[in-house]
Amino acid sequence: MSREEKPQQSVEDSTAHEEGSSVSASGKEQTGKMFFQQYPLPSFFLLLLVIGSLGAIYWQGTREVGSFATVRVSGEDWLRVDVSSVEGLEEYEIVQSFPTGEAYHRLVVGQGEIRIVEANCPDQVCVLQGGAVASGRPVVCLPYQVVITMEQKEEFDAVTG
Amino acid sequence: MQSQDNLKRITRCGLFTAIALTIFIIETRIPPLLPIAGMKMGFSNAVTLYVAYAMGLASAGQVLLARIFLGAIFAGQFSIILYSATGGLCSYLFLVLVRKRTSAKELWFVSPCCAICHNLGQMLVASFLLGRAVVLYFAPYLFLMAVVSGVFVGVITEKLLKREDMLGK
Repeated sequence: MSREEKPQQSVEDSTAHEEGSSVSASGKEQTGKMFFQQYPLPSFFLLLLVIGSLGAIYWQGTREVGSFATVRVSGEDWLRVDVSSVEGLEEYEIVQSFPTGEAYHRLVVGQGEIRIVEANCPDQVCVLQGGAVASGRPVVCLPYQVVITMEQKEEFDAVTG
Repeated sequence: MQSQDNLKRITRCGLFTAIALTIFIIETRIPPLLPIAGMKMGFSNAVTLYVAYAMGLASAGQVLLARIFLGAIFAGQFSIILYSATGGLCSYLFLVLVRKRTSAKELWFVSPCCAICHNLGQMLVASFLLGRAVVLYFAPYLFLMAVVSGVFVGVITEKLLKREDMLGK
């Protein structure tokens, strides 16, 4: 298969060849190598997406959003708290009833973060996400629509006031 | 003769739905690789792609629909059907657009694009339901996963399509 395609690759221009090698150098599957050299445009698109995503992840890490947390349940504000002003630990419980059963989340606020420490769902994604912190990382539970976001003081006051 | 072909098609659809459902359920039971809301490997898409390229778009749509509905029931969280149905619809629409213009050899690229469409649809619903576009924060992670697992799924599907004995021909 790859032996048959070799003459084609040598005919292709040098930019297409560079693309293929740079993609495989960034740790992709080796099985994809010959595809990348054969289709320069799609592989360029995928490469761009990977680089853009990595750049966005880096940018998110350098941001400083603020310490004002908003907890939303089913699209409505449930709790607003300045995480940095909490002394010790505060606990909250969210209990929702659905036709399929009850959804239970236990929140803990303190030490500059707010996190879900207990939930009765099977996947536990919200618990594993850790805390929502000042860099803006949210905590999201998709199945039961619980969201914790971090904001700056101005945005926070604008909504409350 | 006509009805016999139809019978064959329905039987195969049922078989592929069972395979897709099995993969889907196993995937929901595996602890997530990264604690990112909405992140999945999406291996069950391999079945949808296989059916779309081996049996046609109509069969693929039926298998996808059955898998989404039954998957939501068997996964124990019926509310996830909103996310998986919208994501599935988006990736199916993309598949409808490109199916005629591509062959199995381009699956390595079609598959990640399907995954990205799935993610976009899912994020749209999540933003709507949660009342805020917080899930956009996870978009780069989801897109990275879409490319990695999408290419993997595409290559696997292409290899499966080469094996014609799978359909009993």
